Amino acid sequence: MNPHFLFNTLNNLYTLALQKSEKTPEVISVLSDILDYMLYRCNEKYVSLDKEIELIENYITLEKLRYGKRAKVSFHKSVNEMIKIAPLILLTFIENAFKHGVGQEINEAELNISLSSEAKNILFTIRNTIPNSSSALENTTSSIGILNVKKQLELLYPNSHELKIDHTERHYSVQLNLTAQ
Amino acid sequence: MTWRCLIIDDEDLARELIKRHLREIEEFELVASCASAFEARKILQTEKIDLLFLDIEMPVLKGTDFFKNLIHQPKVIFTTAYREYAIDGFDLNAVDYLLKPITFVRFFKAIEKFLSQQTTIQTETLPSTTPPPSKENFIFIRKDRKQVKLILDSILYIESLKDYIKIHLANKTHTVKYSITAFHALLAQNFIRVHRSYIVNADRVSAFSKQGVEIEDINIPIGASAVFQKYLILLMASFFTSLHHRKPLVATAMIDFVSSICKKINSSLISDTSETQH
Repeated sequence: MNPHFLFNTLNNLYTLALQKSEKTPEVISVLSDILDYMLYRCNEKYVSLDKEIELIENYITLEKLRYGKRAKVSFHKSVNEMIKIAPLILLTFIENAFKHGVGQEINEAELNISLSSEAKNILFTIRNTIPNSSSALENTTSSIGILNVKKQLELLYPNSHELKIDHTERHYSVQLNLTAQ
Repeated sequence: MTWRCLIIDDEDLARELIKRHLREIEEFELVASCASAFEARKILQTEKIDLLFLDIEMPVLKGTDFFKNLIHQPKVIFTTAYREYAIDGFDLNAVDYLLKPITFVRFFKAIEKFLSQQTTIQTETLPSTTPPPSKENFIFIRKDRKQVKLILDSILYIESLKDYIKIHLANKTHTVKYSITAFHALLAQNFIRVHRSYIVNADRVSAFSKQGVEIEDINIPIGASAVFQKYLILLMASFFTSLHHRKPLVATAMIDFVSSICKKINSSLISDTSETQH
């Protein structure tokens, strides 16, 4: 996970605490769940998809805290609870979409995530609006995070994954198909 | 002295934090809080800003790039989650570089740093002695690395040239780095601010009208502010009359009266012109 995300979140948390906001305990609990999961609970090669979903939801909660009304986020899921997945792979795409799609947008950004599974197959798609600044697109396609994920996928899902990164004038989208090992 | 501040950060809560920290410190006034460099640019065009709290990683225009391209750069304190931009901040002569999360203790240190830099600048440009007005008849001003003695009675008038003032004497001028408002505070009560850019020595005025005052055949305009016009003509008239008749007691009483009204006029003049200065 990007350390700047962590420091920015702590900065927001500090503000909420000073404000004596009712959100403070919730944010602390969400953040500690994320840290607990990343540090201790995802050391296995494959983890339950449920836990990954929880992580994604927690992460979205904190990003929404940062960007407020600037980010319009949807997350649709219909998955088989028993299925397993390599940890933190999906999060990289989500982090990337927030960083470039929302973080670089002055006006409202849209971000749609969907996750479904059928038998041994997992289908993940994420689509975000492209900000009006020209440099944003280059950043997304050549990001180090994405390059690393590609390598990871080669190792963990050899010949059993399909990654499609695509963009139109307005949208950037990623589609990932995985067949559980 | 109140320092006028501007916050620039694309995250709501991050702006809120600086706003809260600032509220704890008396001498700092928050002029505006902006979500982007574009918004900030508009504020900087119309308001006088002494200190920026500037985030770096923002949409479209980075804080550092924004600051680099400002023609009139206020003092800046960077506020960021990125440790790696510190060197850029250093290159841009930032007062401080605050890493998120920004605690009040650390924030306060940055404020102290800013204030200490301000006083150093002031002592460099201030006349080294600041006598109470009207008790001494001279002051020292710093010019070309020397302290120059200036007899107040020898001053005809003072003209403001942006960051500098030009002090006109009968046979020469001194140009020194000083704001006209601050310099005025050092002078005796017979010095009257007749215009945003002019202070005159009332003892040297040879003629005056609604349009201006005359000193040694030089015409000095009177400020356009209505309140200024109304009181000034009235007050200067009685002031000069009392001087003319050499009635020291009346003159002294008049001087006190004039100076108290002039202070009011000056403060209204300053607030009047600050809107149009930048």
